Amino acid sequence: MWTKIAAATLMVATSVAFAEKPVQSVELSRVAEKLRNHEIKIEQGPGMDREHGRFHVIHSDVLMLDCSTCHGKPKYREGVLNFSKFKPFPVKAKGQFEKDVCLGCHQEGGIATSFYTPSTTDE
Amino acid sequence: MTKLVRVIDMERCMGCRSCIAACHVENHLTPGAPWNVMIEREVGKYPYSRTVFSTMNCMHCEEPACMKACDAIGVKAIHKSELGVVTIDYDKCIGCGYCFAVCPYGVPQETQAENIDNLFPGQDKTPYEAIPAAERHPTHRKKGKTYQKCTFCAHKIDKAVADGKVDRIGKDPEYTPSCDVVCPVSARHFGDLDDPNSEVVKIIGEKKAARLKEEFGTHPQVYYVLEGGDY
Repeated sequence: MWTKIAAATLMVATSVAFAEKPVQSVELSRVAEKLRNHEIKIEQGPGMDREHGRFHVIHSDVLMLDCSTCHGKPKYREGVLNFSKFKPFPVKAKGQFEKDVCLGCHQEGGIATSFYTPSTTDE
Repeated sequence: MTKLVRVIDMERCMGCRSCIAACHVENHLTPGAPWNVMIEREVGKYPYSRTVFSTMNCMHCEEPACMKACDAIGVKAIHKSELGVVTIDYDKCIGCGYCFAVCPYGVPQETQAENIDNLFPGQDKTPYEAIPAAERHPTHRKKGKTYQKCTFCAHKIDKAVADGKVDRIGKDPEYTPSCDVVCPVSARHFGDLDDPNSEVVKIIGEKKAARLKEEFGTHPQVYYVLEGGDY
């Protein structure tokens, strides 16, 4: 009886664990590794320009991230102190990009080049 | 060791923008690329509403994401000094915009090439524009299509170091960033975080000043005495 319950619990726990681990992130980490090792070559130099810069080529064309992954609403969020907020929002832009999204991959220990250290709030 | 920090008291700031005007004059700012901006927003609901003012400038992070990104692509145009001042070398900057992209605060601003030569097209140059590039501090020798940002008035800090007056930074106007000098309501303070007797340390402790967006772990060196809002 207890063996069956334990086995069932294990199966549920395993399926939950797999369900919570998106397949996409595994793929992203592999691609990110290949980018760092120059196995995937990008012709463009560093730049934000959609056509001629590496930034959008890497994130959008190679890693296949949808624009909406980073770009939110076509305006700055209310109540968020961001230096850029003083500027009028560009008409042609996809939408204000949420900096928090970057943390997912670019924080220390993430799959991408580390730009951010772990939070300082626990000091 | 000296670690320079700024404290901005939003409980005292009344939104007069003196700090912004001072920065414009002191640092020869070009249109569209300010180093210091005022963000204001209303909190509460009528009739119990009011405006909260906060000035934003470079946070001069201890772990600058901008510098890490710049180093990662091999450009290495961003430098952090021993005193904690983060500056951009315009001669090395390639204008890729990665510093702006990774900065949690969106601080670096691109210098528009057309705004370098003459602030007022069709008119004579202003006295500040007439100063030859060679006579300017490196942070004031701006170049088109490069990025620029607040330097904690690096020319004043450098002068303090040259004069051997590092201990006077934050006390003497000559060695203190102009924005902090001109505030008429003492909402801005600048000084050494490692000096337990400095004013900035007292204010941070007494008023529980906090740093913005700490979740990014960049350890900003600008503290805010917060007043309302969602940070």
